[in-house]
Amino acid sequence: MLEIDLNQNYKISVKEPQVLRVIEPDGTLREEAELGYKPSEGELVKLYRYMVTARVLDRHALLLHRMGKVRSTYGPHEGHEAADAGTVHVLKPEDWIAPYYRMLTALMIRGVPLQTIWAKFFAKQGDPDKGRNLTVEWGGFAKWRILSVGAPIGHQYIYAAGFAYALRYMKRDEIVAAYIGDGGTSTNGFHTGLNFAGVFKLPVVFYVYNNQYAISVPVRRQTAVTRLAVKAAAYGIEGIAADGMDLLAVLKAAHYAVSKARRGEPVLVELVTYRFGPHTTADDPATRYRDPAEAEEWRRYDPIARLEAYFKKYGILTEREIKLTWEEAEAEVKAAAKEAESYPEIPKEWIVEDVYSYIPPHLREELEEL
Amino acid sequence: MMANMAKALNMALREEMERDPRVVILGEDVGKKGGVFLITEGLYEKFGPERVIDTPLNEGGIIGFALGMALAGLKPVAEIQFADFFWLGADELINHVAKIRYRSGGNFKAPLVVRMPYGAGVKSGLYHSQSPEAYLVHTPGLVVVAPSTPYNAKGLLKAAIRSDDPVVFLEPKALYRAPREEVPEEDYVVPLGKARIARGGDDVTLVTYGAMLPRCLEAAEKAKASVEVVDLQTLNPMDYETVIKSVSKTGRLVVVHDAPKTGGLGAEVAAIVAEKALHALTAPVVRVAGPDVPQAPVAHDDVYVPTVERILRAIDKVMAYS
Ligand SMILES: Cc1ncc(C[n+]2csc(CCOP(=O)(O)OP(=O)(O)O)c2C)c(N)n1
Ligand SMILES: [Mg+2]
Repeated sequence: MLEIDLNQNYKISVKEPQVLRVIEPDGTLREEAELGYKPSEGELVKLYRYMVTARVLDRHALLLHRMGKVRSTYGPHEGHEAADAGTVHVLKPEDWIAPYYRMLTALMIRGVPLQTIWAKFFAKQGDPDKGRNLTVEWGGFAKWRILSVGAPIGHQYIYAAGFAYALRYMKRDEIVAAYIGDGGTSTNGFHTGLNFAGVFKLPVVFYVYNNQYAISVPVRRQTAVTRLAVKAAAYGIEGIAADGMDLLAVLKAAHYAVSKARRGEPVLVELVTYRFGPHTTADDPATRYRDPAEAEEWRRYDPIARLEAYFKKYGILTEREIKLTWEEAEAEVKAAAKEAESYPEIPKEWIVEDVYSYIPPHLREELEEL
Repeated sequence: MMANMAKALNMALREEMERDPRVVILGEDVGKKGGVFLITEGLYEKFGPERVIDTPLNEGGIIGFALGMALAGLKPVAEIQFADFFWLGADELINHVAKIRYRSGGNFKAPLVVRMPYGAGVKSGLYHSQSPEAYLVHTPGLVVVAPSTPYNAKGLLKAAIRSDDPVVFLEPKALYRAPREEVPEEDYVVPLGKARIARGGDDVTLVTYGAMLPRCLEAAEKAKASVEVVDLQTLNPMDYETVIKSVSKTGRLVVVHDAPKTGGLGAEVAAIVAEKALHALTAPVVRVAGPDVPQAPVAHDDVYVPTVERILRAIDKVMAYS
């Protein structure tokens, strides 16, 4: 029965959440920041090292792309390091990641060796995807419990929900962390994934990396809301927002969301960040759609510089230790690239493998013609 | 027992769910209602809401959700209420389900089944009548199957559920309630990737599948010539050897389907025969297909679908050569 109370207000209004921040741009801690979780200094330093290595790798990949060694278009993730580090750190090793493409730090924290990443960038043997995908399409990283993502934006939100349903059905105590960009929030996949997860109450945390742009299109062209997290309301789930370039804020928000997801309450987490680089190696923001001064503005929130300021201010790492971290990362990344460059090329015969569970007769014939 | 195709499919689902707890069903109205064609009738009551899942109305959601389930190790059987609506899940099916084994270098696989009623002949207009098989067979990675009798419907669906590859299972809705035949209650499969000779003959090879089989058999019966009817059963990867063998014997080929003619599966069969057995042909290949109009206008449903009449004319046409 539809009971109608004439004294009620018939208009819906959604209050946008605040963006959680813990570390100020100058490194000072905000004491009042809530949501519980407090990592140890050791954990933070460990994550910091990954973030630095990933940034070095990111920049080196751009360089090797220019030299023609990285075979396909590369999309740098500079600006996303803290978002990756915090959201992956709060997972258990058995949990799953349904990634989107700009997530280098996440892969490294999951344990993907640098050589494997380079093998993929070079499209050589050692690439789990057998050289079939663009650098940023993580197709076959099953070993690290990273589900498969292809270029079409949005689908990972749906299969993450289906995957989570299966986990619960099999009575496995694992959750899925799914990721998408701000542009991705306009897709069918975004809507459908959240809708199914809300209806079936699935153990999934849905992250949105709001880095302000989808290639050249600013987020205000994707949606008329200003905080993407409010979209959760339409699916009957909770939405929260955090400063995605503040490792401590990401850790708190992610820890909160993961705890809820484990109880079968999906959460949408918007991480506000910035894409410092071009969309990909085939893009040039400065000359076309973005004022370089804007990127400079956002630099003051840089996730790595902010963490370093915090470490120095509170005596967690010294200037010298920080410098050493960068030097070590540089050496490690270059050595791994050198090793992967020597890996063999992908053999021609592999082109017909893995289309099906077996090689059908017509494909064998077609291979002979190649 | 005597069963029509709808019942045979229901038997296959029930038996596979009993056999393997990883088999789950999802789709619109598949639960208490048992599906709009009652293919999942009684399964909700027997296996419960965790295994027979009514989903929100979203085909991309149904197929994408099934993909996630398959990646985790379940064997989902997704129902798309009508093949016409699979387009709303085309990204999930064609870009992801079909390619996930390939794009993951074999590190992931998605052995799921997407069942969909297809085809004209029940006066259901432009959006409840389409036969999209040509679009589907053009997608490497998908196995595409079309049953034509109660017996092979049960055996093929069981094989599809046990397959290690994703299978699109096109159910000829015009045949759901066609006359019953003996369908064994025990376990059997009809292997994927194999055509069958539905009727032997020496003069003409009639290649068909799914909904058009009964009309082809009727035409073969009525024809003066001796007609062999090849029922493809699996449309991709296709058992072209059986087709070639038959054409090598008869020297005449007619292909029959109710999908529009241009770029249809008939073109593919004709091309395979031209590539591999042109010398065996004594007559030009003839295609009997739906006309190239949206499938299928209500007022002209019976005009649209290939008739026994048209098939007989095609047989006469190829028999004019010797
Ligand atoms: C369905 C689909 N449409 C278009 C594209 C082309 N494309 C690639 S990335 C991109 C922008 C995505 O922006 P966003 O989701 O914000 O992620 P970001 O690149 O900012 O990390 C577009 C339009 C695509 N990959 N998939
Ligand atoms: Mg973006």
